[in-house]
Amino acid sequence: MQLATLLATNLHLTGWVDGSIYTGASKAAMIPGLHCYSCPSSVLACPTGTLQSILATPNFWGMLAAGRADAVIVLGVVGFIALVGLLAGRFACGWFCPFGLLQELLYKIPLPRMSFQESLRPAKYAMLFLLVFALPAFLRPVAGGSGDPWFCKAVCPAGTSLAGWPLVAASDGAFQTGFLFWWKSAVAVLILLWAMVVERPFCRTLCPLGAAWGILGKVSVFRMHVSDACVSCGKCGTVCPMGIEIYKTPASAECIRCGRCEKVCPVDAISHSVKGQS
Amino acid sequence: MKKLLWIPLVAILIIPVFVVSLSHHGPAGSSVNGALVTGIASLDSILSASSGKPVLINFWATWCGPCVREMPLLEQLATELGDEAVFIAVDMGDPELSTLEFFRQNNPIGITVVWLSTEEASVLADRYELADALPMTLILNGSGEETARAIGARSSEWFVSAMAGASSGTVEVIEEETEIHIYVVGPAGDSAVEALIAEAVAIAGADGFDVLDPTVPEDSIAMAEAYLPGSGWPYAQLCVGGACNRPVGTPEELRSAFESMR
Repeated sequence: MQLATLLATNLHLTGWVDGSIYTGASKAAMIPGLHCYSCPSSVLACPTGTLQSILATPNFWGMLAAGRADAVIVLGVVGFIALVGLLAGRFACGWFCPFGLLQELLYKIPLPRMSFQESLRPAKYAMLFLLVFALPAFLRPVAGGSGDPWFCKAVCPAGTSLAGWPLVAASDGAFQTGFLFWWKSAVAVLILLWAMVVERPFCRTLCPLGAAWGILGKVSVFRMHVSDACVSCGKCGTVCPMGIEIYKTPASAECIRCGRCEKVCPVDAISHSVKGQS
Repeated sequence: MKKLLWIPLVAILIIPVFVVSLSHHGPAGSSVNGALVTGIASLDSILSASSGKPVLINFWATWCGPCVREMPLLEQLATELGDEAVFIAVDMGDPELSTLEFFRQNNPIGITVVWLSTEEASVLADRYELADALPMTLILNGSGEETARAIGARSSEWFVSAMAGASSGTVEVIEEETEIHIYVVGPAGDSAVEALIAEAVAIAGADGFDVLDPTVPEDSIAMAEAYLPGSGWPYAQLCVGGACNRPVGTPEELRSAFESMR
């Protein structure tokens, strides 16, 4: 499913050769996942990047108060993120996200595994509230000027690996590669190396989109349900790509609804269900 | 303590970028608006009252990117000089006063701003023999004589030097920048945009223009950074050195703007 999503949303393949970015009408729509607008083959926009871009426009709050369309459109982006999250929490992370797929493929490389430091998980909420929302919306280095898309600028490894690197490689030196490029390259390399020894480390610790959908998943229509038949064998925990034990916390904000736990449960105690039903 | 490990992770990820990014920006503008008056008569009364002091008159408009970028430099110098000099920002390019008022609500300007209607702006342009481009700066000495003039944005050092020259009586000679650059703003494939691009190539050559699509997030960020208007596209804005003409909608208007700035 993730591979199909990747192919369906990356039809502008010539972009990888000539270093161009597709700017057709479909770029007004968003992909349910972290996939950079500037990825050469992408035909959709990243909800996280779009949200930051709008919040960072000069005089965003004034334009919003005045009802200007280029600011009011932020409601559409927030609405899209909310709709996906309220439907089934982080299911898009497990079924659609191209960067989630990349991490899963890297984890298939046979290497020694590292344990995961659980206390790093809250960092993604700082990414969401600080870098995606607060700083782009309120920080203006020059009064009246624009803000910055801070998550894209300082952290996003999806943007670096699937947009920054290919564009620089195809541009024949036309793109500037200053401090930010090398900084983000270092961050991306470390995350990709981490993904070879820990399953989906970026999703667990840093993804702001996953953080938003995780919060909304607490009240989503579709939820995970663990029935009384559960024998607490722990098999579900051994296959979970997010490293959680679903039988202990069926409503975990970390669950990406991939369904692996359902398949391995020996007593069929785990299921997806509509809120309130079992 | 181990539970808070996420905090250093977040700090390590953002602090270096934060420090580098903010150190590359110029001075911040004022947080409080100064006086706003309208009409040439108001400007003249300010000039009369400033007799004996050097005066800096900056001609600007809200749609002029170089003007908006330059304003914090003027505000900073005005703060430093205090009562020793008079700073006036004359809005020459916004036909509606409400445009300026809306701009100031969100982008406070600490120095006195004078708004002129299109007709009065034309009268003042004749009086001072102003070029059809913004920003422009005139420096007058304590006797009201012009000691320096700049077409296009200038550095903080230039303003400091020019104000010092007004005090000492030396007349500044300014080397004008002549590099032409044109911003063409509008959606890709639009026939009006294509026509503006063709004229931009004819005027500035293949490397002398940028095409920005406001519907593309990256381009809209670039537009914001250049203070290009976010509405009213398709349009083209001609800049020569640090001075820009008002945005125009047709190739003919673009050619006319070019002729007026030569």
